[in-house]
Amino acid sequence: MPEQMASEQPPIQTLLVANRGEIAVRICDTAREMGIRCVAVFSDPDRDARHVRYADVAVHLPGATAGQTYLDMDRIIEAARRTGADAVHPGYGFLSENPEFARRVRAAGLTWVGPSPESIEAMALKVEAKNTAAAAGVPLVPGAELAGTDTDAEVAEKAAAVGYPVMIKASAGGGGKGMRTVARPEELVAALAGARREAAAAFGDDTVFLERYLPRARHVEVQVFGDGHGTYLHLFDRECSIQRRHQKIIEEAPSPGTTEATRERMYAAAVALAERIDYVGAGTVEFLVSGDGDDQEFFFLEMNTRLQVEHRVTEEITGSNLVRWQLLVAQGRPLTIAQEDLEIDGHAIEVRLYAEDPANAFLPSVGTLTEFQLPSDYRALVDSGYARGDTVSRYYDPMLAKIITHGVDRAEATHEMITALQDVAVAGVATNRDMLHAILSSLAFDVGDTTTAFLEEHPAMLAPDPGDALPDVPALVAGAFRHLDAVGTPGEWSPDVFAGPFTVDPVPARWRNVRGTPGCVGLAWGDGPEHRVWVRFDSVGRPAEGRWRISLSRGEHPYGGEATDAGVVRVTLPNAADPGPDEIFPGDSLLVEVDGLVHRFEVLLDALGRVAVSSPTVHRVFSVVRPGGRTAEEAGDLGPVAPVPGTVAAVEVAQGDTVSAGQTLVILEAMKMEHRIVADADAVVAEVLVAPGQAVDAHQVLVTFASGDSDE
Amino acid sequence: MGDVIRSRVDPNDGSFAANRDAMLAALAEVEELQAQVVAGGGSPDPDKNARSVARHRGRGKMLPRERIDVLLDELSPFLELSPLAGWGTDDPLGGGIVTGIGVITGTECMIIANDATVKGGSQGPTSVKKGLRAMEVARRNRLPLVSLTESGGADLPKQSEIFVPGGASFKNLTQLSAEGVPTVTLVFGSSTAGGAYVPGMSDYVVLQKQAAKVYLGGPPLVKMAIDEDADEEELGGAEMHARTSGLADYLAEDEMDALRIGRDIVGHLRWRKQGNGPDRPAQAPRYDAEELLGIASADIRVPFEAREVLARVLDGSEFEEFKPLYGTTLVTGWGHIGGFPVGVLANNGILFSEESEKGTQFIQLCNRHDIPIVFFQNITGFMVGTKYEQGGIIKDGAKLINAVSNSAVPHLTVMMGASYGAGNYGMSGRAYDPRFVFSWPNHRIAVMGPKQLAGVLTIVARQKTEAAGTPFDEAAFAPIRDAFEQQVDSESTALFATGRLWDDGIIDPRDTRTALTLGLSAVHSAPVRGADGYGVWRM
Repeated sequence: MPEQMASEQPPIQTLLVANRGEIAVRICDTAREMGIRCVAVFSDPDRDARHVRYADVAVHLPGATAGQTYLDMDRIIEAARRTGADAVHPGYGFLSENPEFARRVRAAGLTWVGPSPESIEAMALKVEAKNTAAAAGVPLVPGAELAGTDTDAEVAEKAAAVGYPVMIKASAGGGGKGMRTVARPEELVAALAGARREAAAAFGDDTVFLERYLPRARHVEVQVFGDGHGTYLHLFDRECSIQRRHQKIIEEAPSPGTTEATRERMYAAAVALAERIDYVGAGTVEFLVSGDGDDQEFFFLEMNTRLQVEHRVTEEITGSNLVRWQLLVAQGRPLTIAQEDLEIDGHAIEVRLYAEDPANAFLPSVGTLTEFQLPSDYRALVDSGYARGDTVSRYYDPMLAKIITHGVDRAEATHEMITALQDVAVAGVATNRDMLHAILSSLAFDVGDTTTAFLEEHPAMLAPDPGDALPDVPALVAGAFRHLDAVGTPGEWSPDVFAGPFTVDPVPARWRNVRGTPGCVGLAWGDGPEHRVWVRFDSVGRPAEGRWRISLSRGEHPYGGEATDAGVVRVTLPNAADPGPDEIFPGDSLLVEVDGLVHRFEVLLDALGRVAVSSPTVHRVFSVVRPGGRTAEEAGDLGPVAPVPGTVAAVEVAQGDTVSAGQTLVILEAMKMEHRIVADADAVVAEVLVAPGQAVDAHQVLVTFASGDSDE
Repeated sequence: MGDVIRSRVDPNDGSFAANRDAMLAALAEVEELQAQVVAGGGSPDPDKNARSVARHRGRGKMLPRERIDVLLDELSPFLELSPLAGWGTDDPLGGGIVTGIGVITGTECMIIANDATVKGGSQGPTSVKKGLRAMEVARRNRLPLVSLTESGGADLPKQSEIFVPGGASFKNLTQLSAEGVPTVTLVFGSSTAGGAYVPGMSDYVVLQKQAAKVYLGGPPLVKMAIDEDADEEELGGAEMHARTSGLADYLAEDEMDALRIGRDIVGHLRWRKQGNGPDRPAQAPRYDAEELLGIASADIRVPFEAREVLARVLDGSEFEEFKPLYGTTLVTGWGHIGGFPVGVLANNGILFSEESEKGTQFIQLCNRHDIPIVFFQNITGFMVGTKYEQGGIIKDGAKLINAVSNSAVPHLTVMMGASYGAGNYGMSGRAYDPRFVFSWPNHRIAVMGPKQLAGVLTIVARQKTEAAGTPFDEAAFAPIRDAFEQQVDSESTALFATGRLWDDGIIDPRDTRTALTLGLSAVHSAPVRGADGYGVWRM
């Protein structure tokens, strides 16, 4: 004991969390439980973010980009000094795996909550990490290093030696940035350039390397922990195979597809690697697992020297609190638990709810969360840095929340997750909620056929089909009803076209002097067909009760027939005196009765005028279609537009160039991802409207084409 | 501005409730008829109508009001004109066309849409009259005209009634164009023979692919005339006109696309209203429009206080009354509706010489200040009798009619009760070219009241009989007199009037302010300028 006391550092009083979003909140939570005061840092766009509201003190880091704020070591250390913090927790991402930062934190006399700079360094450069792993007896994927001076021919030779398909990875990177898969030799050069550019932008280092790509492998990782007193533990494994753009979206523990034998060997290899680098704190050794049964192999991918996004599933099945362990170990305390004390309890699943559009190449979606409902805490564990009314900015990772369920077995955890996802209602940004729901509900997931190629093999899950030719009639009606603004005050319209200071007295919106005149609301879900909901208006432009007809875009009018009882739809608000619905579904609930079946929906309008309709079984975000286009798709045929706000990384064409369909015009960097803007047809570039480095807004026209049909 | 009118209406009064019940019953009848028109089909047989609507929809087509709804800005109102035209005639109710004012990409437009479920969209006498009226409204108020065309041409059995007057519609189109008022035609179906000149005379033409058919003579006629076997698409299809004849300026993929293009066209017109806007912030009236239902007398012979109506129509119920102590059965004064300044003439009883002169002076003032005039008619006529004839009632009535006729500011007329005799003229009835005439369901219109007319008829008959030396048999004449009274009565109802386009539609009294606001917004699309001169004043 005295020996331990001697090595113990002074207890942490105030912890600065050098991060944002859910992880900052989550770390703060545990720190506070341990009696530690919490300091947050925040950038301009994050001024009102949840992690700022959550902390005891928050320090403003002026600026918006990560480089100006969460990556600025000087300012963060200065923030710690100003607030009297005695320790820094880096979270994940940002500076969490930056050895220089760890050194500078320590040099400032602060406690660094993480492994030593040397451990970080040992694992930071992938090529060196592999050498270390190999020395520790961990099997490696075939690969090759690349030098910046390699000629195209030399690169091609190395790639051939590794064997196609080949993956290009950034030496300094992680999280999918600077990463490219190359199926054929002829794609190599372009992919290499893109990977280098992305790596340079993300990490300030364009060094990349090659590796064999294992197409139907599983991503399985082992959580390790070292206490600096000679104890090295593993906390079993997690499978994170289901990924998009090489970023995890669904994680579970334990892995459903790894044999007991493989697992034991992986645990041993992971612990051996941790021991070899004298690892202190939480770390993760990632493997690719290939094959089944006795033929199953595993290969070292990398080691993450930090807390992982998905650490929660491990906590759920082991009953541990990894952040607490981190903080204890950072204060020099030894672990009081032994490997044999750890047991797997049931099964846990985590999904990452992203503000992005899976149907549209996972484009990040920015905007204000006009509605943001997550599952109640009795149903799932939820980590989120957002609340209703917050803004999802284009500057940072678009993860809205992590939802974690735990069951006695995988089936129960899956069922819990499906139920939890049905409680999610988000308006204001697109989300991957429906995709997550489709994956969790799929047979492939149910039988554990989860590989890193999951989404390529199940593309339908990117945009789950609503099903029937006429989906969700009540949902459409609910959406139309909300859109018509009949729930609230009747709208108004003023012929505001006169010069002069005064406007004409508004008349009721959609006013018709002839009763029962039809009005239509066109609604479309995703890129799906337009559904027109026809309503009969009363004199003040409100929908008359019971008179609805729904038609598909191409003239069909299958639902309705105003003269018969079928198709009569009644929309009513829940009785205000009855508190029931509001407690369960706060917000704008309404009841839609179709043919005697009463459905309850929560229906919300988002900032773009889209209508989000939610029930326990249906969730749809409808675009409102007017002739001339859908809401938020106004740019039309002017030319290729920026799909998201971002910064122009490269312009690959010039005025007068003849381009062919599919050719890259502009590369846009947004939310730390590269977006290639390609020509959708053969054309001649009339004008390039943007330059590298320029910030562009969503829907901003980037390039215009000369009109193609003309002979002039 | 002005004083707030103090209402003395008592909603608990028995006559108030009776008036209200009667008005609601009349409105129910109107709404029932409007529902028939909206449903389409145009025949008295609902089953047949349902079949023709189903056939139309089966081709993927929208009904005219649905097309209009898509064409309009989402929150735009639509002031439909003469929805019940043709009532009481053997033409289909509504005339198979829809006309009205709505807003397209921020521009108030006149829209004329054929209803192809009604006799295939063919044009009968009512269709022609209603269409011409809509064009007149477009021209006088400078409203861009958008036609949604799908018509089988002339209603052939009635060709004699429409051929000659109907020709004016093509003249109107090009005259509108000449005056700089844009004309846009979207063709969704047939537009043949004479109908081909609707796109032919328009500034902009949009034809829907595989749907629009525009030709002077169809395949049968071509076969008869020149023995050619013509293919319909080759003869007048949208693609042919877009690529070969050049009649189509835009080729639309489908109805939604045609409507989208129509919106784009109106959007690029950069149309500017030439009239002034409101000159002060608008204010809702202080009294509930709902009470108008109980204010207007169910019995047309029972007078009611016109100021009670004004209190529920004018901004803030404020009214600057002009000459309140003189010629008291005609209420004149200044107020605002929807923020627009207006002069008001409202009947509070029969017209005498004083009222005529007061009205004449007031109309001249409105013209001097370029202020539109709203007439509220509830008039049984000019006073008769020796005393009044000797007092010069003809000369004074003539002054009022002179002023009304030569007044150049826009007139909007609300028929809120009776409109009998020359009172109709002096208060800017239909023949005096008001920009809009809206009627309440209780409205009655005739040369004089049915009872009086029947009484006059009886007296004339008695004089004739007695002059011939035979005694007049009062009892024997009674059935004739009653039948005549009934005939006049049935021919003086609001429905009869609206059926003949004596007005621009029956409105719910509660909608009066909204209809007038929209009407005033429309009239200010053209310059508002008073008269430079009048006819010779008879003194």
